[in-house]
Amino acid sequence: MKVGFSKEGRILALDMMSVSDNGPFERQGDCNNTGVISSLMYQPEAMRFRGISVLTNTPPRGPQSQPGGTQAHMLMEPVISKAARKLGIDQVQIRRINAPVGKAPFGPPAGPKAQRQYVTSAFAKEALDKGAEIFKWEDRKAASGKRNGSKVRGVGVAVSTYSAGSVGFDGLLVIKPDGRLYIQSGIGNHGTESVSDCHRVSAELLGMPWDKVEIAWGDTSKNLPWTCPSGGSQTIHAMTRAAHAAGMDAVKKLQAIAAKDLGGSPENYEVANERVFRKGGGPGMTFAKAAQRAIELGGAFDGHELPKDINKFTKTSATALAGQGLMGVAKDNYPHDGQSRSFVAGFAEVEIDVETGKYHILDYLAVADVGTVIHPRAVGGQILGRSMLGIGHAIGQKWVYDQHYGVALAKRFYQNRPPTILDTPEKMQWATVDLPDPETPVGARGIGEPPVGAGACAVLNAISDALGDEIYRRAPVTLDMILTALEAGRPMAEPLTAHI
Amino acid sequence: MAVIHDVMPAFELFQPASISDAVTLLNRYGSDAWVMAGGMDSFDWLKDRIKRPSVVVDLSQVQGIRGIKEQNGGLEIGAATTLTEIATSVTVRDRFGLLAEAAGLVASPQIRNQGTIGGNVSQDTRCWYYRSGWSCYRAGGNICYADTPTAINREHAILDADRCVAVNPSDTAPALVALDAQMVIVSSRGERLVNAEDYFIGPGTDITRMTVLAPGELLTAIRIPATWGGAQFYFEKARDRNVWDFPLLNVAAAARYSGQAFESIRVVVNAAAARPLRLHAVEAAVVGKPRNDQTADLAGQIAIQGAQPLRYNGYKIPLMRNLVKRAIRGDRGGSWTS
Repeated sequence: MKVGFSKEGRILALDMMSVSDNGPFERQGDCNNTGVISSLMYQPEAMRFRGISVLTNTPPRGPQSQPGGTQAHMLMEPVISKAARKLGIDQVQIRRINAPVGKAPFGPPAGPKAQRQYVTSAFAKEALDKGAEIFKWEDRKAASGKRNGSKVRGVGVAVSTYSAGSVGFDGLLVIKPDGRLYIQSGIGNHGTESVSDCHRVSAELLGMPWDKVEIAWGDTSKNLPWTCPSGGSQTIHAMTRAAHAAGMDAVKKLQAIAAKDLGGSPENYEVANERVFRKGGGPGMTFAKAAQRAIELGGAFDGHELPKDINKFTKTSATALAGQGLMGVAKDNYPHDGQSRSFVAGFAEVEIDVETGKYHILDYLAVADVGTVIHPRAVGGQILGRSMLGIGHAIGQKWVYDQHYGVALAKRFYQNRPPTILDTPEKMQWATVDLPDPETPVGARGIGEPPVGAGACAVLNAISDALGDEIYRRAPVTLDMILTALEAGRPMAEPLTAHI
Repeated sequence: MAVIHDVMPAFELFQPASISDAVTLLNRYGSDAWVMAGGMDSFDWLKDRIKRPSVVVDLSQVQGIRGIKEQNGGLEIGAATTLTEIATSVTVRDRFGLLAEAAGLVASPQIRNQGTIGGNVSQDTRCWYYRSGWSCYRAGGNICYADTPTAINREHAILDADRCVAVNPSDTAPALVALDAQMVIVSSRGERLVNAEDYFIGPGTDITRMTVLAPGELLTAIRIPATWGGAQFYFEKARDRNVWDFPLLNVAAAARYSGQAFESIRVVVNAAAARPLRLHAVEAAVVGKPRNDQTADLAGQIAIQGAQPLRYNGYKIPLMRNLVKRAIRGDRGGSWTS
């Protein structure tokens, strides 16, 4: 990799060649993603990318999280930190200068018009600014690099991005004559709570109190709609859109029933407090009554007629639920100009013992640009959880195989060393920028994968900040690498041997 | 190479209730019998089918091999006493804090609750070639896979290697050697006492064993004499993670002073060789000298004399030098300011 910077720290040119150790079987996509993610996060004015995936006689593997993105950041971030030191530019500032803004382009020109893709929005600068403030970056920077006995502290910042949402799935719900809202959720429940969080959108559009909402989930026999898989950091984006579409469909049907029974046109009516009623006061009816009327009216109102564009899977589920009340059912057809990506700025402070090479992470902060926050505790859990996954890659998680025999050696957790709860930073905080994405009705983007690279690289950059650039050429950075580099005054670990 | 994980193979299980019953069983089955205490070393071997004993003698029901007793100003610790019991024992902490500290740094809290001191000192090496069932010297073959130009040997030996480059992975072993402990070994022939320093053996003595324990023998207790009670201690363990790791290296030291100078001292390092190494040359060099940076630097330099790195474990040489230096300096360099 070669990177050319202007005096001000702007990346003018990036020449990246990525070689992926693919393992023996199916193709892995990480290699190309390193180029795509680098082009987005650091917005080089000119870029050449070459990627090669090599089949190797080594144990099989699969991507873990932020595939290609983590590697992109782990390649780029230490180089940017080094450049900032050489150019005398603040580490936050150099990332700000190169950060994507608005509908930022990324990837190579493609198609007949040689157009580049672009994101729906990017508030990476805002994430960096907020993080610098909360972390008290300027104060800590001043104390960085000072020795206390055998200990030295360092601070690091890093940015990270990844995909954050897909489009085109379906929403399905029924208001029944008992006055309750029954929402069908096809979202896989991984413990992130998106299985229910996404559907707050429908409840809010309908003005339905959450305790009167029933969610059916967990099993395809329960008449669930066509839903995105719980992966690729797409759920909160994809399924709040679908929930919005289904909720709006139900609102329109409530308005139509009110107009039919009480006079006027549908637009004269609004919904709130479990009722549909005339704007500015006047006649109305309860949702319970409207649900009863939907069954009597039939057709589209109770699900006997369905939209043409919904998935076959949704059609089957909706048909099974038809006739039970007022049905909201729709495909997400909302406009979506660009690709949805979320951004994270990570800040870390480490303390390194130069006599052993062992270091501790004293503090970590991640500030995420995830659009509108749907559920603060859930987004916080995602941000810190995935940050920790990245930190694991920085501090010691590894897989090891014998290079001659191609056989796995680190087969147990005590050997491959994923981070434990005692390896988490002593303090960990998160925050969000909380600016809505303009290309999705609710404004929310995904956050599963984007924090990983920031978690890994903020720690790596903090190590370099404390000890200089001549320590490591690869990660994880373990005490042996630090100690031998300090002894020799140059990096001693083989750069192309990832895990030993 | 077996790849069937996490399913227990078939074996005959005995759960004797007394030391004599246990010894009778071990005598009857000889090398076919596997002695199991906490199971922390045993289960991987058995589930991976690398070791295939026909008989397992489970010590969990044996009376009289668990607990900490004061004895002649020292301690007798039953071999089946858990590491948690030792780490939290007021008796141990008060006078032999070195052992309590070492026991408290073993593995993880869950493993310390289950693992025993007898198991911790008698466990087999963690060399991942040997543990994977490769037919190496230690497994009865005629090659060391960890000592080749392409081997991954970051955690292997820098001292006293002899064909095999595996290391002893125990944290409590160096503390026991530093405290001049004695191991109580019972067999059908009766009881024998072995100094902790002699309990552990290198490949030059027997390449297939880590200790002097022979088939038919049982470690029942560990005696710690009064010698080092209340002395100044230093223990430090270097590891990748903050928990659940075997040592990359550890150091245990016990010292007494006369005025400002070292009157007597023990310094022991583990995970540098196949057995915990008592650093006699370091001890001899520092006795009579004051505790200061100069003495510490000297000790560190002496400690690593003769050390030979393999492909990936060169870091252990400066690490050992610095750990020994810190042990002599006694400055608690291993503790963190925040």
